[in-house]
Formats: sequence, C-alpha cells, structure tokens
Amino acid sequence: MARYLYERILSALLTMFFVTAIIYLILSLIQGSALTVMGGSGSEMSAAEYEAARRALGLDLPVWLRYAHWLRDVLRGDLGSSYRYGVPVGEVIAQRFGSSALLVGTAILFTLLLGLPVGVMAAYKPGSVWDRLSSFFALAGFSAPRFITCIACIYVFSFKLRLAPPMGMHNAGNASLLDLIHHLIMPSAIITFGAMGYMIKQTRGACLEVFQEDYLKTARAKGLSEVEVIFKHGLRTALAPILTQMMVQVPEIVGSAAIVEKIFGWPGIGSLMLDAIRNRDTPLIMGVTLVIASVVLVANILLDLAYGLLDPRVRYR
Amino acid sequence: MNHRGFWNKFRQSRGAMIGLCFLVAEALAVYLLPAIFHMDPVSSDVQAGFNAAPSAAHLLGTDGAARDLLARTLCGGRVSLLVGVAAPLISVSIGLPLGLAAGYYRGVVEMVVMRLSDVFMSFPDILLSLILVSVIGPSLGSLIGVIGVMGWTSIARLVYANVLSIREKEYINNALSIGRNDFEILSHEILPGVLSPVFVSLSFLSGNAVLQESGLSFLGAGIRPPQASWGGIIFAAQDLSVLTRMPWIWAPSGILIVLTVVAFQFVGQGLRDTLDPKMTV
Repeated sequence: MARYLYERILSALLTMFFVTAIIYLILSLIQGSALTVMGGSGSEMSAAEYEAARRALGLDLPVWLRYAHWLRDVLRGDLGSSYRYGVPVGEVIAQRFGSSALLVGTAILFTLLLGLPVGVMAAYKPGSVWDRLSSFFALAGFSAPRFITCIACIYVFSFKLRLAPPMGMHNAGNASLLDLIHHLIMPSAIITFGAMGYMIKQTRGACLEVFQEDYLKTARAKGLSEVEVIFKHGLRTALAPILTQMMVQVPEIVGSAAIVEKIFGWPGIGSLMLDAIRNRDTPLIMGVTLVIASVVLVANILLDLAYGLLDPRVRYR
Repeated sequence: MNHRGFWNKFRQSRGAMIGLCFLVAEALAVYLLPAIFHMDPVSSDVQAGFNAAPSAAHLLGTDGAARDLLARTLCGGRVSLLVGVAAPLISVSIGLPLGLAAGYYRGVVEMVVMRLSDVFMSFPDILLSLILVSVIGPSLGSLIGVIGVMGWTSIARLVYANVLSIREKEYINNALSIGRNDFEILSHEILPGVLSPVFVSLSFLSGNAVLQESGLSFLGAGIRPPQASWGGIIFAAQDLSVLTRMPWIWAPSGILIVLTVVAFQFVGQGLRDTLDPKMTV
C-alpha cells in the first residue's frame, strides 16, 4: 500500500513536471509580446530600454535554462512576480484560491449527490420515463456550453425573476454566510448541471452491467430489501468504474469553472488564469498552471485510493 | 457490413436521422442563403441603428456595430460546421497512428504515448487551447489546428484499448507465423478492427469541437470580428446591458450551438448503435 502510494505520487510529480515544462515552452514563444504588453501600458520604450528590460526578466537566456530557474525558484517556494501587477504570484493565488475551492468543491459535491442516485434509478428501470427524462437532462448538460448556460440563467433568474444575483461573491458591505450562499447557488448549479450529464451516463452504464449479476439475485433471494440490494451490493461494485470516470472529469470541471467565474465575476483562480493569458503574464500563468495541475493530480490520487477502499478485490501492488 | 446494410440499420434510429437531417439542412442554409439573398455580414447599416431590435429590414436585429445579425448568424454557422468537420480529422490523423503504435509495439512507445496523454488529460482543455491560440494568433486555421490537436488523446486511448484486445486474437498469431511483417499486420489485420469505434467517436468529437470553438470565440480568443462566429456574436452578452435587455442578439446563436451539438450527439449515438452496439463512448 505505502509502496503503491509512493509510486503514484512519483508519477504524479513526473506528470506535473511535463505539464509545466510544456506550457513553459509554449509560453516562451510569446515572451517578446509580454514586453510589448508591459511597454504598451506605460510609455514607449527605446531599443536600449527594451534590451535592458529583457535582461532584467532574464529573457535573453535559452528556454530550458529559464525553465530550470523557474523550477528551482518554485522548489524554494518562490513563484516569481506577476508582469502585470508587479506583486508576488503566490500572494495573488493565495487570495483567490479559497473562493475557487468553494465554488468547485460545491459543484463536485452536488454532482456526486445528484448524479449518482439519478444514474442508479435510470439503470434500475432502463427505458422507463425516468430513464428517458434523465438521459434528456444529461444530454442537455453536456451539449450546452457553460457560457450559454450562464447567460441564459442570468437572464432568466437574475433579470426576469430576480431570484439570484448576477455578479460577485458578496453584496457590498454584506459579509454574511447567507449572502455568500445566495451568490454561490447559481454559478455552482451551472457547473453541476454541466458535469452531471457524464455522471448520470457513467453511473447508468456501470449499474446496468452490475444489475445483471447473479449475486444481486442471491441477495434478493436471501431476503434483503430492494434498497439494500441496490445500494449495498449493486452500487458499491459499480462505484469503482464511476470513480475512474470522475478522474477524467476533474480537469473539465476546473476548466468550465474558469468560464463561469469570469462571467459571474467570481474572484477565483480560473478567472485569474483567463486574465493572465489575455495579458500574457507568464509568471502568473505558470503559477496558476502549477496550482491547477496539483489539484487535478491530488484529486486523482484520492480517487484512486477511494477505488481500493470501495472495491476490496483491488490489491495495490 | 456492406453500405446498404449499414444505411438500412442507421435509418431505423430516429434520433440519428433527425440529427443528420438537421445538420444537412443547417449546412445548406449557412452556405446557400447568404449567397442567394446577397446578405452582408460585415457592413454597418447605421440607419437601422446599433443593437436594433428585430424588424422587417433586419429579421434578427443588428449588433453593436449595426451589422445585420441574420447574416452574421448564418455566416457564423459556417465557422462552427467547418471546425466541427475539420478538427476531428486532425485528431484522428494524430491519435490513430499513435494509438496503433502504442498498442502494437507496447514497451517504450506505449509508455511515451500513454504518459503524454496523461499529461494532456491532467490539464483543462479550454485553458491549454486558449494558451496555444494566443501564441499562434487567432484565426480559423489556428482554431481548427489547436482544437484538432487537443482531441488526439481520446482517439489514441480508444485505438490503444482496441488494439490491445485484437492483438491477442489468434489470427494475429497466424499472420505472424506465415511471415507477415508489422506493417502488413497493422494495416490489414488490426486497422480494420479499430476503424468502427474511431468512426463512431468522430461524431462525438465534432460536437466537442463546436463547443470548444464557440467557447474560445466567446472568450475573444477565436474568430476575430468583423468575421462572424456564434461564440463571437455571444461575446457581446459579456456586457450586462446587452445580456439583460437585448436577448435577440445572443439567443439565436446560443440556441443554434446547442442544437448543433445535440445533432452531432444523436448522429454519434446512431452510428454507435449501428456499428458497435457493445461500445460505450
């Protein structure tokens, strides 16, 4: 078990190395433009000033050396300073991380809480009205781009019905929990709606297979109630493949959260990333990349471990 | 299965036929209508006004630069359909050979390809595409290229998994024992077995490509104005007053994106039921 975990973490670190290296390499192709953006925000630069600025940022060094320096600084806990804002990247991310975690965490929680039972019920009676209704819902969930769902929801729920605020995390001067929840409902519901489609489909598929198994008949024959048969014996086996699918979903959820954050003006790291890309703010992009990749890989390891807890047949090598 | 058998079976799937008819009608509409009625998606009609409500002269109203929204919506459809058709072909041309090689040769090739796909899959598609497009510069070509490249992992993994199971079949051993070389085995024995699932997933990839393109254009990193695209038209709704007071600007494009993606999904499900009933995509 310890050995398995060790190997899993090692391979995650390796993946993280490649993710950051690839993105660093891509970004190095626009380094010159980052200077143009900086120069554009102030006065014009002379050729000598431009050269000096390039040197100051270390842009005259070869890419691999710059990446090595970046990596060395990261290992020392220094993510560098944002080109755009001039403040340490670590600080900016720390300010924004909590609100993203709240939004994405809420969305993932409700995706599981709603998607699992709906999928199980759809598989319980394939072809029933419930099954068709839920597959329609699933189709709508992954066919509507997040930005369209956001715009339609703001139009209907904020503007027409005036049920939920269209912007931000708090009303000005109101820091109560109730106000936060009021602002959280719509953006997190939109992410949930998008992610639930896959959840329902995967749960239904996995359960359809398990529900054919003989041991469920045995469980019924020995007099267990239908709820016990379905949830204790059926769902438990089906959960393992569902969790694997969930791993594939995590980056997708993080990506859609970025768009939702941007539209709702939610002060998280997703919208921070979109702004950083627009401003070609390499240190900030790299910092957020590191955070997102870590979150995804940690989630994968946790799901992997849950897989083993749920399915006793799995033995970690 | 021959062509007629395939078509007869595909035709029975009602959803797939509705999806296919919708896509064909849409393609005809976006390519023919603007030409027939001499619609102009780029000129401003200042007399009609900016952000004007639908009227007889402009059936869907005008946008923030007083351009006719019906013409822009139709021409925007060309972008979505073109990306939806072209990007998956790029994904397949990268993912198919890599998946074949990884599944057939195993060893180092397998490790490199699967690790690389892990790397791609552990980062949100939309963010990586956004970074790539901002490096290359936004244009129709770069959108197709980037979305196409981003789709390689799903094809490679699909092909890889199928090759692994085919590889163990007896006829592969037979082919080896009569002295066929790797290329002959890959192209004659293995490739035919993986083509069905690839063909099925093409339609799902198309739907996904339409989603990606609209998302990038909505974020201002895709098709640049004055060229029209559905995501670009909806970009105007980032302004709260357009969003709340002028739904005619963003609603038609939004509905068309959703319907197009649903149509591709239906066609994909029909193809799956026809070609490969056991497959789960």
